Amino acid sequence: MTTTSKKTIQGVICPFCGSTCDDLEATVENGKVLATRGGCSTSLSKFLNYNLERPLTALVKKDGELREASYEDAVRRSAEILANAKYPILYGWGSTCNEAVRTGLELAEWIGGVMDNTATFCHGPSLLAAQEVGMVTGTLGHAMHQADLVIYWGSNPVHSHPHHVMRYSALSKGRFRPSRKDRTMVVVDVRKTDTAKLADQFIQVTPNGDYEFISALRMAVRGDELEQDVIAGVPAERIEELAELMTSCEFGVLFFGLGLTASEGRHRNVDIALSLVRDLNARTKFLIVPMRGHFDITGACQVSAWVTGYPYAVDLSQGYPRYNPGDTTTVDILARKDCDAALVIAADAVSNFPVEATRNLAKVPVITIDPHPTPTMLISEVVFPTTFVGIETGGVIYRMDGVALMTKPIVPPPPGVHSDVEILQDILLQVKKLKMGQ
Amino acid sequence: MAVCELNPDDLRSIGITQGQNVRVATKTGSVIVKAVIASQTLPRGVIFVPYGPWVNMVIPAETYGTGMPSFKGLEAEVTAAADEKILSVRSLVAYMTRG
Repeated sequence: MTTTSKKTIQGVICPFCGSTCDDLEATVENGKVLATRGGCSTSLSKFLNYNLERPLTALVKKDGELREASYEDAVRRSAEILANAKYPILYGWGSTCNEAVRTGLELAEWIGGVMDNTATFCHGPSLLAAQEVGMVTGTLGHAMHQADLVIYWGSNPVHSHPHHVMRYSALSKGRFRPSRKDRTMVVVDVRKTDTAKLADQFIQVTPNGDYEFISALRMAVRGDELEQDVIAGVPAERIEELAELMTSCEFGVLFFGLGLTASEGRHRNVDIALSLVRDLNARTKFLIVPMRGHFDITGACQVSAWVTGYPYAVDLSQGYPRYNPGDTTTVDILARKDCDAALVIAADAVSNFPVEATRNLAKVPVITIDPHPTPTMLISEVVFPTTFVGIETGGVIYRMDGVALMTKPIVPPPPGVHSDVEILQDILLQVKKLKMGQ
Repeated sequence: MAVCELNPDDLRSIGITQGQNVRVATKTGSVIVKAVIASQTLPRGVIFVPYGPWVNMVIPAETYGTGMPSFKGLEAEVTAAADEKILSVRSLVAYMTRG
């Protein structure tokens, strides 16, 4: 791919958050991104700065130190580590493409590993809840064009998904809801966030109070009397007003974030939120949509589910897929000190794992595949620099609502730097040779 | 990321000023971070520490059968630590992985 002359590319997809805005315009010249238009400030920052402080050479640990190595040596060492491991973890996958996830699943099957993705720390509890009670959901297009009531619950998209409110919900120009005055926006959170400042109503719940609050809201939606004056820090009258607002809207959408999944109650908080939305559909039209974080974490879960039947935490050590969150999830495996090798791709384990999990991860050989220099590289045995999906490499990604989008490269990768898919395929090939005794 | 956002009244009650260091401790461990007044409103008694290696020092690995650690709604104690230093990422990783 050559981009010697200055040109403008339309319809570029942003590879940052789960909103994956697909209406960007990028100006490129001589293999560099000069500018982008239409994205949020975070998107602009990624497109303009992705190339800074970037590793370009594979590293392999020798005599206790990471040293520059050939790509072939890094592939060989990685294959040895994984082929000889009894219970390796393959973790990450949220910021790459579906083709890489599919290759990773084949690799996990060959080595008898655990295929887990960053949903394990994010919307894993949402998936558990959806498996138990089902999810009345839809696309962001429904929210954009039809919703007259938008609720953000435990989510702060002004910072986490900066264009979400403008492009898909309260501030979007929908076909049937062309302006802000056609919609009511409510934010429920433990603090008055910058998103709450955009809302018509802000309801502040006490930390860990969501389950209690949603229980009361379900009662109010059903018309039952609330016996307490204040529930989870919210006066009963406000809960009844919110119930009235939710039942009287024409089309409501509840977007929820980690405020529900990462606080006390976890999947139970989501379970009851899903049940609330199911109840509301007896009175009006209502959808619930998880605010997925990384740009392809939805794809990682869906590809895993197509191939194995399970969206994350898939244990292939017995030769068939087994799924038992709390047992086959990365943090639990590391806390038990069960794993003996790890491949971390498109995620930064050390920046996200609790200290005990990081401590145990550092005791096993770790292979890191990431375009960024990350703290995880500091504990790695092998490090692969890689290309940026959506900037230097194409691939299919899934938006937070499951809509498939095909990203395309807009600039060429640095010479000698391979894509996630190429690296995984090369490791897989070596693993097959080792396993088959060739 | 090595910051702890607080309500201004909580900051005063700890006896420090904005920019000074504090120790955030949970039953899992403790970490030194810089105290700042919350850019987004925080009620008294609630702190916000961004995702990252620093806060991971105080996050328990217990997932209660879900795979998800308690990243929110965790009880923590914040005390003044003006004379203590914030560890760099490299030092923090070395500390986390020793032993």
